[in-house]
Amino acid sequence: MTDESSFESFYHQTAPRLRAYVVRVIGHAAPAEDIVQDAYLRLLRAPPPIHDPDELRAYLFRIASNLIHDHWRRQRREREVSDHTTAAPNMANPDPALKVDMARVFAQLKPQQRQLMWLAYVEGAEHSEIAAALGLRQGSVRVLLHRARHKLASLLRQRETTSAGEPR
Amino acid sequence: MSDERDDELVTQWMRELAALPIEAPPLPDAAYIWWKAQLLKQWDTQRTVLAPLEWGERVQAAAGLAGAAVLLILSSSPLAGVATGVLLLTAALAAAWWRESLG
Repeated sequence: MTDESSFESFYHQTAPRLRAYVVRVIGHAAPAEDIVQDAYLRLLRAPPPIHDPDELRAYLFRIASNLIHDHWRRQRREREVSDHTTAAPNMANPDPALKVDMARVFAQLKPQQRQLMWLAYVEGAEHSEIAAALGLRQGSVRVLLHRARHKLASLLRQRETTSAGEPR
Repeated sequence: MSDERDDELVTQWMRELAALPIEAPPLPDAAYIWWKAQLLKQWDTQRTVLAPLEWGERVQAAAGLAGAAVLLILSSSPLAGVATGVLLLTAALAAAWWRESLG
């Protein structure tokens, strides 16, 4: 990525998807904007010796995943300081366009499970790519993804049962 | 079998989630990010170039302070004559170097 035009084309291909990943995983749009911008700045300031666009995209998602973890760490520290331990940190200000119901279901997954599910099901990433993006072992990804899928399926079934039992 | 059902259910639901529009301001312009990154890279380069100079300045200041301390100790001891000699010699050498650098 040595010239502006190649960056521009890479940016247009990846930015909307990267933003969707960050917004859905952290649950609100404002910090997601900063994380997305920071991810591109880091990529440009210290470009890796990668020329394949798919690998570069995976690398970008890895940077963003690290920034998401930093964001969570910062939030945890701030929560400890302000002692708002009961607040739901990651979905405190949900994206208004996200249906409340879907947001609630997705928020019930652990943060890492949301990352795993998004990368696997929306980005269609291979286990090796997810492992690289989240700093996990490939074998662990398989197990964690299985658990996340099972948990989400249970939540969805539970939701179906609840909504079927509601009076009309 | 149950795993397959889970997978179908989850795949469909994730697809719906991914299709939801995101309520957020438009993404920043690619040219703006490129420009900002170039600026940050320039600062990084400047910092790398200036780092040895800044380090040298610190060493210079530390050496000056150490020299002053030595002279102070020497001046209050019976070796005051030596201290004066060192001071005069240093001044003479500095003057000679200065004259040479001018001429």
